[in-house]
Order: sequence, then C-alpha cells, then structure tokens
Amino acid sequence: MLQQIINGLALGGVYALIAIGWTVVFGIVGLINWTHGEVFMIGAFAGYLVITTYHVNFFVALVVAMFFGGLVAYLIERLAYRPLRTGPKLALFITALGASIFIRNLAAIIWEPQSRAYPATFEASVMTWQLGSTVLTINTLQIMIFAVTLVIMAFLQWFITRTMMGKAMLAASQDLEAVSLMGVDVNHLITITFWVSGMLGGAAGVLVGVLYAIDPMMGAMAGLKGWAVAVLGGVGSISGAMVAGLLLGVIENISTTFISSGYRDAIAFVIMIATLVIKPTGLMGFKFEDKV
Amino acid sequence: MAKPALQFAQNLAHKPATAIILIAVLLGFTFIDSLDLTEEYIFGAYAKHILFISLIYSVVTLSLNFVTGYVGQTSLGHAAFFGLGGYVSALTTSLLHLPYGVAFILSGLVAALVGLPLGAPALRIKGPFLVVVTYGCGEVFKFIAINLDITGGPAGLPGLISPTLGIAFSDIGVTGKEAFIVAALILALVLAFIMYRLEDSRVGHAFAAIRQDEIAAASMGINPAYYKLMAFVFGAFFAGLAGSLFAHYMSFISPDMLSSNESIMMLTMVVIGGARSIPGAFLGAFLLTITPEFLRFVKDVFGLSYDPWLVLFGLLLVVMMRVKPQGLLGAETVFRR
Amino acid sequence: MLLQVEKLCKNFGGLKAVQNIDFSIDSGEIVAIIGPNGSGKTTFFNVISGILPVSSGGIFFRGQDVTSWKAHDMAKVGLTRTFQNIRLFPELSVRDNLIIGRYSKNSSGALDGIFHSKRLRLEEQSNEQVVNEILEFTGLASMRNVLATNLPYGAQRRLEIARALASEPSLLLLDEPAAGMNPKEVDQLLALIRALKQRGLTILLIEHQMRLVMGIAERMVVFDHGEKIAEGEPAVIRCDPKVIEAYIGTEVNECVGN
Ligand SMILES: Nc1ncnc2c1ncn2[C@@H]1O[C@H](COP(=O)(O)OP(=O)(O)OP(=O)(O)O)[C@@H](O)[C@H]1O
Ligand SMILES: [Mg+2]
Repeated sequence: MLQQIINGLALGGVYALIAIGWTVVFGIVGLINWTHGEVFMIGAFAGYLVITTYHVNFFVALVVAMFFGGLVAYLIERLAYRPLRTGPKLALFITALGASIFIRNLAAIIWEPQSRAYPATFEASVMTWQLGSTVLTINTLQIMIFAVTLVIMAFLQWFITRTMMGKAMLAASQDLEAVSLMGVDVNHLITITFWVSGMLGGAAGVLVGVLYAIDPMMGAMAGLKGWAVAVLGGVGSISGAMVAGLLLGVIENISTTFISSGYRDAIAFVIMIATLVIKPTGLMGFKFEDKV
Repeated sequence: MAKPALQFAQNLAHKPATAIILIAVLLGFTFIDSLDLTEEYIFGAYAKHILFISLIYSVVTLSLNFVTGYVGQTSLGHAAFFGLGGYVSALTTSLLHLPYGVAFILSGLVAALVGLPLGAPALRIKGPFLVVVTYGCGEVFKFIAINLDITGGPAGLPGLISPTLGIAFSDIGVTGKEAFIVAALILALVLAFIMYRLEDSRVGHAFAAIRQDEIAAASMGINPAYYKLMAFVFGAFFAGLAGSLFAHYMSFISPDMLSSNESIMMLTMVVIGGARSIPGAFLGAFLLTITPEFLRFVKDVFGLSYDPWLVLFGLLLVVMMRVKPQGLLGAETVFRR
Repeated sequence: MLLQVEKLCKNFGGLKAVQNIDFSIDSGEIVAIIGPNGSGKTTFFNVISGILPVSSGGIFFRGQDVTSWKAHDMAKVGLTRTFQNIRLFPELSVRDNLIIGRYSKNSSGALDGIFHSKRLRLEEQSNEQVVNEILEFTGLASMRNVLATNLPYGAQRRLEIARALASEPSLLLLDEPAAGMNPKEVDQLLALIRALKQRGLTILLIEHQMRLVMGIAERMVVFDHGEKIAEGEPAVIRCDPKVIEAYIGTEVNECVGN
C-alpha cells in the first residue's frame, strides 16, 4: 500500500502540472482547451529530439520543451482562438477540437506514429528500504521527477502571488471583465496565460517522457486526465489541482492493485463524473453561477 | 460566387421536391443492378457500402441533434448509445436467440433507458463541464466493453446474424447490402419526419426556449429538466436503433464502435451540416463519410505514405468555425405557422 | 389572499439578501415594491417565482403551500414574471416569443406534435387568437415578425410584459419595467399598466423611482437591506421618516414640497 502511494506520487505530480495548465486557461478564457494534450505531446517530442540530436542533459531538454510548449500554446491561441473569442462557445470548442486533431495527426505524419523511449539521461538507481515486514523500493528517477514538479510549482506559486502579471491572472480567473475594466490589457494577459499553460504542459511532457514511451497520440489520454484532475481540484483553483493530481496518481496506483488494471484509465473519468455530479465545485473551486 | 451558390443549395435543400428526387435517385442506384442491365455492376458493393454508412450516420447525426441541436447541450458521448444499441442487438440475437425485430426494438429501448441516467448530469452540469462528462461516460462504456467477457473483450463479438424483418435481408438485391440501405433510409426518413413535426409543436417550442434562455423558459412554465431528459432519451433511442442496424450489417461488433473518436465525428457532423437543420444532418453525415474514402483513394493514387484525412479534417473544423460557425445549412429556427 | 409570504429569508452565503419578509397581495390589487439598490427586491421576486430556493419561511399561493415549488410549477398556477435585465428568447420573433408564453396554457406533448393531433391544432388556433390580441393590446402588432434581439430597447421591455400576459397570469410580477426607458416610453408603459388594472389583473411591481408608481399603486412596500421597513398607501409612505432615511434625500424634496 505504501509502495503504491510512493509510485503514485511521481505520476500524480505530472498530472497536477497538466491540470494546472488546463485550469489557468479555463479560469481566464472559459474554454476547455482541448489542445492542451497536444501541447504536452509537443513538449515530450521537443525534449526527445534535443536529447537524441544534441545529446544535451535532462535539464536543458526540460527548458527547451517548456519553450516549445509555450510557443505552440501561444500560436494556437493567436491563430485559432483569438478570432473567435467573442463568438459562440460551441464554435470555440469545435475549433479547439479541430486544432487538436490537426496537431496530433500532423505530428503522426512528421514523426511517424510508432512509440519511442527517451535515451537514458541519468544513471537511475533503485533504493530499497526495509520497513517492518514490507520492502519499499524507490527509483531515483521518481524522486527526481517529483522534485522537479515541486520546483516548478513553487515557481508558479511565486509568479502568481508575487508578480503583477501573476496577480492579474489570478484576479482575471475570477472576473475577467472586472480586470479589464481596471485597465489591464486583456490580450496581453491571455497571451501570458497561454504561455504559462503551454510551459507547464511542455514540462509535463518531458517528465512523462523519461518515465514512459512517447508517441504522437499520447496527448489524448494525458490531456483528459489533466482535465479530470482540474475538475476534481475545482476548476480555476491551482492549489486544488496540485492536491487532486497527487490524489489521482495515488488512487490509480492503488486501484490497479486492488481492482483490475483494465480499468486503470477509466478511474480518472469515474472520479471526474462523480465530482461534477456530487460536488461541481470540486475540492477547492469556486462556483460559476448564472446571474438572474 | 460562393455565396449565391451556397444560398441556392440551401434553398434547394429545404424543398420537399428535392428530398423526393434525392430519395428516388438513391433507390434507383441501389436497385439498378438488380435489373441485370449490364455485365458489371454499375453501382457496386463498395459504393453501396459507402451509401449505407452515410445513411446510418445520417440517422446518428439527426439523433444527436436532439441533444446538441434542440436543447443546445454539447455531447461528446453519443457513440456510447450507438455502440450500446449494437451490443444489445448482438447479445439478444446470439445469446437469447430472439428474432432480429425484437433485438432491433430492444437496442433502441435499452439505449434510451441508459440515456436517462446519463442525461441526468445534464440537469445539474452546464456547458463545458457537460462536454467532458458525456465524453467520460463514453470512455467508461468503452472500458466496460473491453473488460467484460460477455461483450467479447477488446476483440468484440463476431458472427452476428443477418437480419430478417418479414423477409431476410440477404434475399434482397444483388450484393446483399440493398436491404440494409433501404432499412437505414426508412429509419432516417422516419426520424427526419418526426423531427420536422416536433420542431413546430409545443415540444419543439419548449426546446427552443430552453436553448435560448433556460431561466426565462422555466418562468414560462417549461420544465427544463423534463425536456433535457426527453432530448437525451430520444437521441439515445434512435442512436441505439442505428447501432443495431450497423452492427448486423458489419456482422461483428467491437469496442471501437463506442470510441470517443466516433463521438467526436458525430458531433462534427452535426456542426458542419448545421445544428437543427434536417438536410444539414444528412449533408454533414454524407460529407464526412465520403471525404475520407475519397482521400484514401487520393492517397493510393499519389502513393502517399500517410493518410491525409485526419489532418485535413482538423484544419477543416478550424476553418469552418472561422468562416461559417453555424454550419453549411444551419439557421435559427422560426416556428412555421 | 392570492399570494401570502411568511417570514421569508434568502441568504447568499453570509449575505442576507431578504430577511423575514411578511407580505400578502389580494386579487385585483396593484402593489409596488420600492427600495434602494441592492435592497433585495429582485431577490424577493426570484424566490417567490421559484427561481431561487428559499432559505427559510413560507410561500402560499391561493392558500396552497408552494414554498418548495420550482419556477415552472409557479408559472403553471398563474404566477408569471418579467426580468429586470430583459430575458427574451433573442433568436425568436416577437410572435414566437408570445407562443412560448402560451406554453403553460397548453398541454399537447410529443405524440400530438408528431401526429399533428386535433388537440394540437385546437391549441394552435386559440394561441394565434390570444397572441394577436395581446400584440394589438401592447402595441407590438407591427413588429410581429421581428426577432426579439433586433427590437428597440423599449419594445423589448414591452415584449417581456406581452410574453408574460400570453400565459394569462393571475398574478403578474414586473421587475423594474420602466428601467432605461425614455419619458415617452414610460408614459406608454404606465398607460399599459392602467389598462391591465382595468382588466382586473393582479400586479406586483418593483420600481426604483417612487414617483413613477405614485399614480398606479394602491399600496407600497419599502425594502431596505433585505428588510421590509414600511408598508402602506403611497401618500403616507412617501413621508415616512424611515423611508426618507433609506433613500438618503433622493426623494425628500418632493415630500417637503408637498
Ligand atoms: N445570485 C446571487 N448570488 C449572490 N448574491 C446575490 C445574488 N443575487 C443578488 N445578490 C445580492 O443580493 C443583494 C440584493 O440584490 P437584489 O438584486 O435583490 O437587489 P435589488 O433590490 O433588486 O437591487 P436593484 O435595485 O439594483 O435591482 C445584493 O447585495 C446582491 O449583490
Ligand atoms: Mg433588482
């Protein structure tokens, strides 16, 4: 059981990163950014390509991936979403869906559909502990991923609570109109938001890449799990996404052992649906209500 | 140039005469080879296959219009009902050995019954959240179908019987596909007629009111929950019927039928054709069924190493929403009388 | 009593928007609710029309306990309302908006629609008649086929009232029907309300400016901070010190001037 929790934490941290990328965009633009999974995939591939061609180390790859993730997210917003921002919500959503299908399949044409693994960038070693009668094994890779996730989150927290732009973002996620009335340039704010979201997605892509194999279709499931986590945490809530990401990682791992591995990927959806039906505000979210 | 042409097409599409001519042409193509006029088939098995698939998706697109068109709820889980109808029909005929007619009706009823609880979240959850809930429900269905023994796991169920409704489907026509085409056409037309009639009835008025302002609708005495559930149940019922026909046509069923890609395709058929437009539903279904087939042909001719369809499809959606977000034949309803 | 409200409270989190309101209105009366911004008038309407659930207290319609009823149930027994921030069906024509107003008076269902039954046809006939009559009465006949979203502002407000009338209500709630209207439109509106009064309709209306309702309301209720601070005949109310204080001088001069 404890072993399962430990295994779940590393993955859960990555889920949290993806979820925060969803949440910031939804909070501010009110759009389910279906392309977020694709940004994550681009990050994973950017990291893979720099490592295999330039033999850089992991941290350089991470930075490169974050840059490309942010860039792609920015381009998507600029080219596809911005012209429709005031249009009907369904049109915006279908645009997101279309952009996602486009990027995913373009990637499959450019990079070939088969899956591939990152070359080993570190000497991963396995540590074992004896705890009473149980033996715990921890991969250093897991520890490193978890540590990187924590650093990124700490940085994000700093950005949002300490910088002007971050504070404006936080305020905008509750009431964009009010913020724009206060004289903040909305386009600029949304650009920054997509950059932040994309960088988080790109980072998550690399972190998943060093753990598992990557392929052009990887964004679909990861993106959705990220959304499920965002919902569980309460859409718009960053701290909620952090907690919920770790929770989902752990729950998935535990359920694989106790229920059946066949349902592993379904767990996220069941949790998401249950959350929305029982407590639509999630763990820490606020309410979106119709004004009469 | 493009605008008058589109307007002309739109006007044409809404004339009953157009519908009658199109139906006559379709039936003509379907049965021309039964006359034994030529050595080779004029309209062969492959063309008939495409025609059948287009018609089945027309039914599905029309049925999704209840949810997405009429009450304005975006659903990304409609394939769940389509697949469910298929599985119900498959199991009723192969496990219970009941006649196809029973299986057909049952597939619609079970899908509708399941649509009820699945529609229930729609009462509490709004807009973007409902999209992911319907999507999630569809995915959960797929996981169940993959993991259960009775549904044949990931491989699905092979060897479904060829239907008999009064006469055996296999007895009609030269390729064995003709009866399926006629059945799908009848189903599509019945559904189109029902929708045409409902649009300007008290039920259709209630749908329109809820779609445009739910709170105002409720203050006029319309119960939004009732009509949203009705839309889900109607949509699920007809998707289930279509699923049954489809599964028996293919003679096997697999969890792919429930996949989210299917659901996405169905939603885009509604949107591209134009939400709430009956001719639009047919147009969307035919376009998105025929184009990928055509592109596959292009791929073979040019010897491309990849299938260009999905990339173009993604691009098409983005461009379409930019230039004509209401779809090719879409327009807001006006009560007729 | 047509509508009776007992100790009605509505809280939004910690905010007490409506507190302990006792109120009643009898058939044929015209009553106005006045009060400063944010005093809970609209919230009071939202609660009695079933759009928002009550926090505590009771609502009785013709003696029947309707406290937990939803908006669509209230409309069916004859309580219909308009909205302060206009909620029409924007993409429907004026006539189609009224047809939806007829909803609660009809009963046909999906099967009637599919088979175009006798019941549906009879309903259509009578709807057409009522709708035409109301269009004439409210002066919207010439805009019959205009989409609601394309109407000028004053006509949108009138259409809200027309749509509510289409349901042949026994109690009509009007939430600031004159808001944003120019003086000419206000005069037309007052004439319309008088005509409705003549027909014996029971009306409860919210109005921001006291003088607008001086001429038509038989009774006034004053809200402040969610509480009912005064109730009575308009002439008495306007000189009530509590009311003057709540309005902090906005209407004081008028009273003194009298
Ligand atoms: N849905 C809601 N959620 C939270 N607070 C609300 C809601 N509706 C109203 N309020 C608050 O309740 C209080 C009363 O508002 P209400 O709209 O009832 O006032 P009002 O008397 O109609 O004001 P006005 O004259 O401006 O229309 C206000 O402080 C308002 O902000
Ligand atoms: Mg108000």
